[in-house]
Amino acid sequence: MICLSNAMHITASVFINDDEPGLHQDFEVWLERLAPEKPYSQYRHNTAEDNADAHLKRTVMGREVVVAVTAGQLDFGPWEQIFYGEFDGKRDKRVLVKIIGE
Amino acid sequence: MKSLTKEIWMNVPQRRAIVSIHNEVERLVEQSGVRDGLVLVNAMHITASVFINDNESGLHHDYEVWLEKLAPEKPYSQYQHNGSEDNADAHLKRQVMGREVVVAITDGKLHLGPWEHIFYYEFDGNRKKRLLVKIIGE
Repeated sequence: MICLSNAMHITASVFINDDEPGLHQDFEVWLERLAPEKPYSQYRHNTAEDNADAHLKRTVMGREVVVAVTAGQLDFGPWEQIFYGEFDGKRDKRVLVKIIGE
Repeated sequence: MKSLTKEIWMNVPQRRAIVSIHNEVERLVEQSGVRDGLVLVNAMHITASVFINDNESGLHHDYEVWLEKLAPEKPYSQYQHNGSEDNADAHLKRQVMGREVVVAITDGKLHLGPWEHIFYYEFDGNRKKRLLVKIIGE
């Protein structure tokens, strides 16, 4: 069996990494350096919106993960944890989980 | 289990471009007859990407500028890969954008959010290249 889990929005991510708050802070700082939120005007996308950085950040972090399911459990390494990364929040958004196999 | 495999040929007449492949993938899902499953869409070349994001031209321009900042094309000599080739930047850019997407199929259709759109991103064009669509399910 395999399990697909993906963000259904183009300004959010599903990714697998460490459940450690220091790293989460590091991700935030690093993503801000790679694709800064401001000035909004630096991005052509930001004529009507202000979330161009969110599109770029989610591109770095990824849209989805595909995880093996064996003997009824997710096949993870020792530290793998699944996360949702929100880059343009404050509204209802969805994550899809699709599990197929026997 | 049903499956459908299709290689789609591209030939982008410039070095870099974003090309929509969304309708083609939708058609293939319909053709497969799969009601519930998954579709894998991936670039078959290591200097190209398949990704999902917004079908908005301003953002596409932003991607081009941003990727050139992260992994500039020139000078070619800055990259050790560029001994006999000149496309090291294309390999790096495609790593940022991704190789593939895996999309759920539910009730015979691509199961997508409101703005999700499937694209091919060429980083080293001017030649024939392929992407793969593999659909599996019931």
